[in-house]
Amino acid sequence: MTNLLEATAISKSFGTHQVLSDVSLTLRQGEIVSLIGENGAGKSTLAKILCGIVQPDTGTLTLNGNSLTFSHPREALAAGIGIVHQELSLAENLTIAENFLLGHEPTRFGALDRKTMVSRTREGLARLGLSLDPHRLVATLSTGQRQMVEIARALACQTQLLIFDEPTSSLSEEDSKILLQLVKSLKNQGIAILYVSHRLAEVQEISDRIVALRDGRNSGEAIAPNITRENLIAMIVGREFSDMYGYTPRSHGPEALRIQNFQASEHHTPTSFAVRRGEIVGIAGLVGSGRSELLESIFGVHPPLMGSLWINGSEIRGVSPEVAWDNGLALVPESRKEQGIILESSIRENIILSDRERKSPLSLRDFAAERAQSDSSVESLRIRCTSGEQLTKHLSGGNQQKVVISRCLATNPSILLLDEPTRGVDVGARREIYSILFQLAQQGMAILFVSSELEEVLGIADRVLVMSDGAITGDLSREEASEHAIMSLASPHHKVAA
Amino acid sequence: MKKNLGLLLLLILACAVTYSLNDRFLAPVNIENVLRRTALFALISIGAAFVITSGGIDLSIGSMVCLVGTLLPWLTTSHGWAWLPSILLLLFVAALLGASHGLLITKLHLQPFIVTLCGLLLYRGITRGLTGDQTQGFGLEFESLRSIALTKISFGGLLPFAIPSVAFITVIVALIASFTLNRTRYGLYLRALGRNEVASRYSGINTDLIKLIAYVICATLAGASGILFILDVNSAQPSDFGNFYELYAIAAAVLGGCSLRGGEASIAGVLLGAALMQVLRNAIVLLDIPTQLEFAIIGGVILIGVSAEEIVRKTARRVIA
Repeated sequence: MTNLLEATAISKSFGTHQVLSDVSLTLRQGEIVSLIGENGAGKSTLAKILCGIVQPDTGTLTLNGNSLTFSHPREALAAGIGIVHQELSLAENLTIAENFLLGHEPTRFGALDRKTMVSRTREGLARLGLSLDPHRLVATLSTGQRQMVEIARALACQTQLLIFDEPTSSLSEEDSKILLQLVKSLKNQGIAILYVSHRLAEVQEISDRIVALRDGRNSGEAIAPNITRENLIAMIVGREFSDMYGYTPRSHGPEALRIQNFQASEHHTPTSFAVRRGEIVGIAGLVGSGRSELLESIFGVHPPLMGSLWINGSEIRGVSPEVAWDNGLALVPESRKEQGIILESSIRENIILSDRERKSPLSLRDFAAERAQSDSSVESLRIRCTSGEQLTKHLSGGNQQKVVISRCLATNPSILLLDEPTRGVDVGARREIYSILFQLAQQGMAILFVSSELEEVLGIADRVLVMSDGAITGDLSREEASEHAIMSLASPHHKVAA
Repeated sequence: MKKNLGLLLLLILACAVTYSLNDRFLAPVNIENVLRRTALFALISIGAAFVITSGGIDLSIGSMVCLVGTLLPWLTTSHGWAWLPSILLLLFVAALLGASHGLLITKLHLQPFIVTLCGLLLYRGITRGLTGDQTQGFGLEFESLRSIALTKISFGGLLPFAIPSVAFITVIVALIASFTLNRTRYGLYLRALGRNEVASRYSGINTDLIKLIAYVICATLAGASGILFILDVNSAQPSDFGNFYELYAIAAAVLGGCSLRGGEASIAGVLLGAALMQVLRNAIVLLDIPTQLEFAIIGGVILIGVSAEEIVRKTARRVIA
C-alpha cells in the first residue's frame, strides 16, 4: 500500500531555537501512528506543520503523492487534514452549531442559513453517534463532550488524515476510553490517524506504529504490538530510565511544613500531611484532582476554608502570597507565562521581584545588588542568556522556568513548592532542574511538587502523595510507589464512598 | 530616552513649521505662555501615566480639575474660607476620591473605565450642583495666592524669556515621579503588575495597594493642577472647566510611550507629549487656523505620532531579526 502522507526532512526553528531538524514521518490510509516524545521534543510543532498552522523552514509534504504547501490551516483542512487540539479550541459563548461551521458558515442571500447549519451539525454529530442539541451553548458541555464536538468538526470536511494532539490530557478516564474507541472506529472508516500523546499505555493500546521524537529529531520507530514499555521509554529519553534523574537517598531533618485538617476548597476533603527538611514530596493525580488548588491554597493564593498551616513549627495565619513569601515559602506556579514570569521584564527584574529585604514599595532599588543577585543566579542555575538584562520573553521555556526558580531561591526559602516544574521544558534543561532540586534538598530545603508526569514523580520524589477528587488517597514511600500503585489510587472510583 | 527620539523630532518639527509661518511663535510672551500651559497639562499627564502604567485608565481627570478648581474660589471668595484650609481640604478630597476609584477597582473588581467614567459624570455634576452652575472666580482678591501660578522668573540676560513658576513646580513633580518609577520598589512593582498582574501577585506583591496608590497619585495631581489652573485663569464655569482634559492627559501619556496595555512609562516622554499638544494648540491660534479645527488637528497629529512610533519599532525589530 502506498503512503497517504509523506513528510520528508522537515526542519523548523523559532528564533535561535531549532525545534525540528530533518524529521520524517509517513502515514498510510487507515493506519494509527502515534507520535511520542518528551515535552519540547517537537511533537506539537510537527503536528502543527502537518495541518498548516506553522510553516516548515525546509522539507516537503506530500498527500497522495501531490506535494503540499499550506499557508493557512484552512488549506490543510480543504486538502483533508484536520486536527483536534490539545487545548480545546471551541468558542464557549457560541452554540455547538455555530462552532461546528465557524469560518465556513452556509449563507442564504448573504445572511446566515441557520437551518442548514443546524442540520449539517446534527449530521456531523450523528456520524460519531452523538445526539447533542446543536443549539446548546458550548459552555454547558462537559470536557469530554466538547472534545467530541471538536472531533466532529474536524471530520466535517472530506478528512483523510486526522491529527489528535494530546487528546486525553484533560479528559477523565471514562471519557478517554470513549475517545480511544472512537479513534479505532475512525481507523476502520479508512481515516489515517496521527495520535500525539505521552500516555504510553494508550499509545500501546491503539497504535499500529509508533514514531518517537527526541530534541527535534526522529529517535526511533516501532511496530506497536511488539514493543515493550521499556523500549518506548528508551526511544523517548534515549537512555535508561534511571539515569534521567540520578536520584540518591538523603537523610531528612525535622518537619518544615505541616498542614492540619486543611481544606483548600469545597471540592477538597480536609487533609493533613507534613514535609520534612531535605525531603522531596511529589503529589501525583489526574488532571482535575485538585492538586494545584491544594498547592495554591497552601501558598495563600486562595485562602483555605478551614485547617491550619505550620511552617518550621509555628502556625501561620491569614495566608496570602505575601505572607507565604515572608515565612519562607516559595512557589513555582503551574502556568509559567500567566502566573510565573513577567515576559516583558528582564531576567534581573524577574529574579529580584520577590526580594523580602526590600519588599516595601518605599524602599529604594539597589541596582548593584540586583545585578549581583541576577548574575549569580544566571551562573549557578546556568540560565542561557545574553545577559541579565535580556527580556525573559526571548528565553526558551526551560530557561524561563529557571528564572522563576531563581526568583524563589533569591528569597532563601525553607520550603519550595513547585507546580509542574518541567512542563514545556526541554530534556536538557529538565535534567538540570532535577539536579538543582536534589541539591536544594541536600542543603535542607523541603520540596513539595505537583506533576502530571508519573515518571518524573517516581524519578525524583522521596515520598508520593496521591490525590483523587480533592482527597489524598495515598501516601507512598519511594519503595512502595510504582506507576501501577499510583494510577490505581488516582482513579476516581478508588475513593471509598463517603 | 532613545524611545522618545521620534517624539522629540515631531515636537521640533511642529515648532519649526509654526515659527517659519509666524515668527511671533518665538516671541518671549508666547514662549512663556506655551511653557505655562505645557507645565499645567504635564501635571495631569504625569498622573495619568501612573494609572496607565498599572494597566488602568482614569477618565475623571477633567472633572477632578473642575471640582477642585471651581470649588477653591467657591470656598474662599463665596464662603469666606481662608485659602490654606480650602486648598488642603480640596486636595484631601481629591486623594480620597482617587482612593475610592482604587478600592472599587481592586476590591469590587469593577473595570477602571467604568469606575472613572462614573467619576467623570459625578464630579462634574456635583460641582455644577454645589455652585448653582455659576461662574466661580477670585475677582480682584487673593492676588498673592494667584501669584503662585502667575509669577515668572527671568534669568536676567541669560534667557530672552522668563520661566513661569508653574514650570518649576512641574519639573519638581516630574523629577519625583521619574525617581519613583525608576528608582523605588514602587516603580518596579507598578510596572510588573502592569505587565502581568497575576504573576506579580504570585510574586508576593500587594498588587491591590500598588494600584490604589496609582489612582490616588493621579487624582491628587489632577486636583493640584485644578488649583493651579484656576489660579492661572482667575475664573471658570463649572459646566466646561476642565472638559476633555483627561483626554489630553491620556494622549500625552500615550504619545510619551506609555502603553495602554500597561507596564511602560517614561516621564520625559510624557512631558514631550504634553508639550507637543500645547505647541499644536498654540500653532492653531498663531496660524489663523479656524479654532473649530483644533480637535481634528490634534487628533490627526497624535495618530501620526503613534503610527510612526509603531512603524519605527516594527522596522527596528525586522532589522534586528
